[in-house]
Amino acid sequence: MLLFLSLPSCGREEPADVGAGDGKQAQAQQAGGATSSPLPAVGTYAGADVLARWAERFARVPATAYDAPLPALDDARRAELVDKWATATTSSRRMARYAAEARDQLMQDRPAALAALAAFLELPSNPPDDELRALTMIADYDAPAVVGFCLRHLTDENRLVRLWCVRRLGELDAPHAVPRLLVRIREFYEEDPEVLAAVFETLAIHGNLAGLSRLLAWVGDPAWVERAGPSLIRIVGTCGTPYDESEGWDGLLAKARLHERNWRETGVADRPATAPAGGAPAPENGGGHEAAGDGAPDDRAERDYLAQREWWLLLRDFDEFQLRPVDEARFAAREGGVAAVALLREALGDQRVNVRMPALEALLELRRPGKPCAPEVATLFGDRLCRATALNVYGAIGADDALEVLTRVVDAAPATPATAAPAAPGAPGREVLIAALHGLAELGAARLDLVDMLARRLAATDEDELHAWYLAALLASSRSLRAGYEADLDKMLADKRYHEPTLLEIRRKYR
Amino acid sequence: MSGAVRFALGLGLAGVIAGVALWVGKDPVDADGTAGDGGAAALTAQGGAQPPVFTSSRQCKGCHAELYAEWEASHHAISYTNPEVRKLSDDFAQKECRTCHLPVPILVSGVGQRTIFRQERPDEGVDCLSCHLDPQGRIAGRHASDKGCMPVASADSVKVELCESCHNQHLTTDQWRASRFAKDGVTCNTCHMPEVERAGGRKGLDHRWLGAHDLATLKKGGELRVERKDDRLAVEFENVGCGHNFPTEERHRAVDIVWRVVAPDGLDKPGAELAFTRLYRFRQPYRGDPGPNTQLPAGETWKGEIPVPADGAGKVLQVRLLYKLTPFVEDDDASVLDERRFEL
Repeated sequence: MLLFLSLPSCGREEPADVGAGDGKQAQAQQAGGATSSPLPAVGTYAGADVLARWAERFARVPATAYDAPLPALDDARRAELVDKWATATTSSRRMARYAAEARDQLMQDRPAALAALAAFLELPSNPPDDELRALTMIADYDAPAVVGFCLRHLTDENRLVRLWCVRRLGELDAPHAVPRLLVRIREFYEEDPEVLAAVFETLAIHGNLAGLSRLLAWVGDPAWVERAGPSLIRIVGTCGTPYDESEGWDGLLAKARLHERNWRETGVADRPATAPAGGAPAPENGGGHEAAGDGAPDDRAERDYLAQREWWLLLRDFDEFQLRPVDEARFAAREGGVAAVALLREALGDQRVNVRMPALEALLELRRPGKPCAPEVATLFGDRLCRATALNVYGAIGADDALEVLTRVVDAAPATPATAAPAAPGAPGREVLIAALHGLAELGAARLDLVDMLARRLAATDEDELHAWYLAALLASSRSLRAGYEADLDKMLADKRYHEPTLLEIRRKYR
Repeated sequence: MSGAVRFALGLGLAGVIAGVALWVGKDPVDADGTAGDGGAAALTAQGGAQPPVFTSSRQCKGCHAELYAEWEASHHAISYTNPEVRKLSDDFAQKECRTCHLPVPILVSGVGQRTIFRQERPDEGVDCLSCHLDPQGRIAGRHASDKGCMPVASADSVKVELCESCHNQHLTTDQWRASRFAKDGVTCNTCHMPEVERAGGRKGLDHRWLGAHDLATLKKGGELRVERKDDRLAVEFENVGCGHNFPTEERHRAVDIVWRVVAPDGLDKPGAELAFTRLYRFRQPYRGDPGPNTQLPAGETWKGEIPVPADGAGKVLQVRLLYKLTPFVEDDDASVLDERRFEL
C-alpha cells in the first residue's frame, strides 16, 4: 500500500491523492501484493451495473416462495370470503356448525383465503378476539405463505396482528425476515413496546442482536423495565446462556451486555451450536433452529438465496432519489451484521455514486464487522466523489493497512487545503484531510509516531475546523496526553469556536 | 541626497518591505474565520493567472459583501445549524436529512442528482460553494470574469435542476413541472431569486430565497375568497401565485382555514381564549400518518362552506388563513396570511 501511495500525484498540492486502481489491484495491495500498473487519474472511477446484476441474480422466485403474489379477487369473491372469515372466527355456540363449514371452505383455497384475510382484518367492526382466531387458523397454512403474510402485515394498524406476525416469524424458520424486521426497529417506526420487544426477540432467534442495546437502554426506564426483563431472559437463552434466577438482575444484564458487545465487534450473534427456534435452551439431542416449519424450505441454499434476495430488495433502494427508502436500506444494512456484508461489498462497485455512498455510510456504522469490504473500499480512493467517505470508512472498519494509509494522507496534506472540489487541481484537499483524521479517530491506533505527527500539525494550524479534527484523532490515539487535548476541546466548546454539535460529538465519541 | 531625504526613503522602503511581508504572511482566512479583506487579498494574491483556491464561503465576503449578507440572512446559511431543524431531525440522527442540509457542491455531485453529504464546514450549511463551486474547483456563475474569483460562465448555476437536487426530495420541482409555470418559463429563480439592485446600481439575483419564512412572499401564494350566501359563507382558496403546491416542501408545513363567531370586542382575542374552528387543512401528512395529501396544486381552487349561526346577531364571523411551519404550531403562533370579518 505504501508503494501505491507513493506514486506520483497528478496535480499541484496532490500529495494526499491516494487514488487506487481497479478492484483487482486494490485487492492485491490489501493482500500485501504490489503492482506496477499505472494508477488511473482521479475521477476516472468506473463501476459495474451492480443493480442490474442483482436483479438478474434474484429474479428467480420459486413458485412456493413466501412472497409469491396472492391472487387478485374480484369484489364479489372477496366479499364472499370475508363473510366466511367472519363466520369461521365467530365464538357463538349456535354458529359452531357453520363456523366449522366455513373453515373447511377456506382451507380449500388457501391463497384466496389469505388474500381475503387482509380485507377481513381491515374491517373496523371485528372483535380483536376474532382477528386472533383468524390468525391462529392460518398458522397451519404452508410456512412460506404464512411468512409472506407476516411480512406484509408487520405494519398492520392492529397491534395484535403485528405482534402475532412478529412472533410467528420467530417460530418459523425464516431468516429472510431479518431485513424487514430490522427496518421496524428504526426509531419511531414501532411505537408499541410489546411489539418492539417481540421484534428484538425474533431478530435474536434469527441470529441478529441489533436491538439488544435498545432493550438494555430500557432497563433504566421504569415504564419499560417490565417488558425488557422477560425479553432479555429469552434473548440470552437464545444466545445459549440461559438465565438462572440465582444470577439476579445484575447477572442477566451482564450476560446481555456481553452478547451485545460481541455482536457489535463481530456482527455475529453468540449462538449455541444447535440453537432452537423460540429461544428455549437447546435440548441435548440438538434440533431446534435447523428444524424447518411445516412446508418451509428445507434446503439451506434455498433459504440463503431468499435471505440474500430480501437484502437485495432493500439495498436496491440505494438508488432512489427520495431519501427515506435509502435511509431505511442503509439502517437495515448497518444493523444487519455480517449478513449484509456480501451485498454491501458488491454495492461498493456500482457505477452509480448514489449506490456506492449509502453502502459506504452503512459500513461506517457497521464498523469492524465490515472489515471484509476493505479491498472494495480501497478501490474507492480513486473515486473523486467517494474518496473522503472511503478514507473515513477505512479507519472505521479497521482495515489492516488503515493506519499506514490514513497517516500518509494526513502527513502529506497542505496546512490549508482547498475545500471540496474533487477534480480540481489541489484535490483531494480539505474534506479528504478531515475524513482521514476522522478515520484515524475511528481507528483509535495508539502509536507514538502518529501522536507526534498529529501534535505537530495541530500546532501548525490556525483553523478551528482542522483543529477540532486533529483533536479528535489525538484523543482517540493518545494515552498519556489525553488530559491536555480534552482541555483543549473543552476550551473550544467554551469559546464557541467551530460547530458546537460536531465538537460535542467528538467529545462524546473519542474522549 | 540629504540625510532627511535618505531617512525618508529608508523609512518608505522599510514600510514597503514590512507591508509586503505582512501581506504575504496573511492567511486566506482570517484568524477569526472571516475572510474580510484578508479573503479578498488572498483571492487577488493567489489569483493572477491562476484561479484562487477556495477553503470557505467566507472568502466570498470580501468582494460580495451585500450578496454575502443576503445569504447569511437566509435559511440556506443555517441549514445545518438551525435549532428547529436539528430538533425535527433528532439532531440529524435521521441521516437522510443531512445530504441536503450539508451537501457537497451540487455542480460536483451532479445537477439534478441526489446530493452527497459533506464532511466539512458544518457551520456554513448550504453555502456559496454548494451552488457555485464546479468540479474543477472554479466558481461557476451567470457571467465569466478574469477578475477576483475568476468565475466561469455556467448555465447549470441557474437551472431548476440545481434546486431540484435538494428540493425535489419533497417533490416540489415535480409539482412545478406539472404546473403552467413550467410551460410559461417561470422558474424557481423568477420568484425566489428575483433581480435586485445593490450598492452602486449593480444588479444581481436576490440570495435570500424568500419563501415559507417570509410573510409577504407567503401572502402572494394563495387567494382567499369568502362570500356570504344566506345561511352560509362560501369559502374558496386558490393557489394563484405558487408554481408548486401550497404549501409545498417539507411535510411539516400546513395551511389552515379557521373561523370563529365572536362579539366585536373579541376580534383581537387570542385563539387560546376564544378558540377557532378549523374548516380545512392543506398539508401532506407525515409518512405513516393517515389521511390524503391535501396540498393545493398550482392554479387549483378549493371550495368549502361555513354555516352562519342563526343566533349570531350582533356578533362577527371571523375567518383566517393561517400558515404554520409545523402542524403542531398553535393558531395564535401561526402567520396570518389573510383575514375576513362578516357582521351577523
